[in-house]
Amino acid sequence: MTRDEFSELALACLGEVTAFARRLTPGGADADDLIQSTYERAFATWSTLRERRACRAWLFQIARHLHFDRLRAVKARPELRLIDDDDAIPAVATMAADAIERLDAREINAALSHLDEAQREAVLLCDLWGFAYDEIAAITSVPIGTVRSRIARGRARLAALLGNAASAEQSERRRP
Amino acid sequence: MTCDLHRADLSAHIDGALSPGERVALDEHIAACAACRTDFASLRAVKHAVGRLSSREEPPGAVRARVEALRFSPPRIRRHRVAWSVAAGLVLAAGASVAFIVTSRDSSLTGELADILVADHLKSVPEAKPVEVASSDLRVVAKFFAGKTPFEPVVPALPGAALVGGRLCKIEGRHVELLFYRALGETLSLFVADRPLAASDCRAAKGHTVCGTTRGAHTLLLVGQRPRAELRALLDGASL
Repeated sequence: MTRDEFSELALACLGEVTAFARRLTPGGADADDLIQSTYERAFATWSTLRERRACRAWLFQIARHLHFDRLRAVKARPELRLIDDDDAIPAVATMAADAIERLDAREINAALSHLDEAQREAVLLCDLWGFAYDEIAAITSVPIGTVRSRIARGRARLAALLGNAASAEQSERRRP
Repeated sequence: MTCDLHRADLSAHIDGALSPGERVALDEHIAACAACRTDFASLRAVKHAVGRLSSREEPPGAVRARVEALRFSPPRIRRHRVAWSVAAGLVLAAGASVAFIVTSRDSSLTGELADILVADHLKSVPEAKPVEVASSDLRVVAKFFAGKTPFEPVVPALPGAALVGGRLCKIEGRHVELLFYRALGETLSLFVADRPLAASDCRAAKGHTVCGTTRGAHTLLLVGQRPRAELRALLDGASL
């Protein structure tokens, strides 16, 4: 892969990296700096990228590492809360799937905000950006089994949260 | 098997992450278990709901411009002179002005850069004006720079040198660290930038010595009055 080819690949991901950076730094102005730092690092080390198809995941990985490096520099302990991945997966709340389909972005984001950070990250990488489990494992530096359990737990929790949101919306509609 | 054992598999099935054997076994179970069918539909609806969110966002124009400019930025090693931040008269937030001019072919500091660094050293040392952060604790000083520099701040430990404190500088609109150490009977200034500059030699300027080195993505530039061999030894012994 030439540098020009890498440039094309990397810049095609700018919109997705921007969305990811904003998810990592919600409500902060740090996202712009994170985006720029990510690409500076990528352009400085692009020759270490072995496969073209790994470029997108590699950019996400860089952004994530830079973000958590900064958090570690600010705090003695990173903000990421550890979870016990051996906990039982919660039961999925029973509800009509089509009720979830009707929810809007605000309600989905509100439910996501209630997830554990690690679970939210895994669910978003999988469902929003479409990464495979092995890619998510590489981005987040955890085993594939952990990715799998985080997604399962995150989705089960989201199902409950979105189910509540859907029920509330239905009640609102029924109210005279 | 009970349905509890299927919960993790249901999500993995949606993502196509099961082996063919696991998939067949789970499909058979789902066909026979109404509860798992409902759960499967709910989890798939959750995946679709998240997938409807925006996966792309437009960065601010200035950020896009800077990122796109990187494709035209020179590779780290070039055969001709590279000027990095030659803006003359750059006014810095901390009252110090720094411009970096390096020649990457021979990895040498230019005289102009050395002059500027020495001038800033003389203007900014704690004897000339109060530091913005005063501490001998590397972590305390690093914490001061956290969020202020566009890179992960590093505060190197120099062998036999005592950290005094630091202040923020700006190079071409980008903040860098300016650290002060007591060593060799004087106050030394250490500029820490995130650019992988080629600046590996020493140069005399205005009765001072300026030595540079790169550590990973960081460039360290040390300014003091002692001979280059002594400053070089300090810089080579720096631990990040």
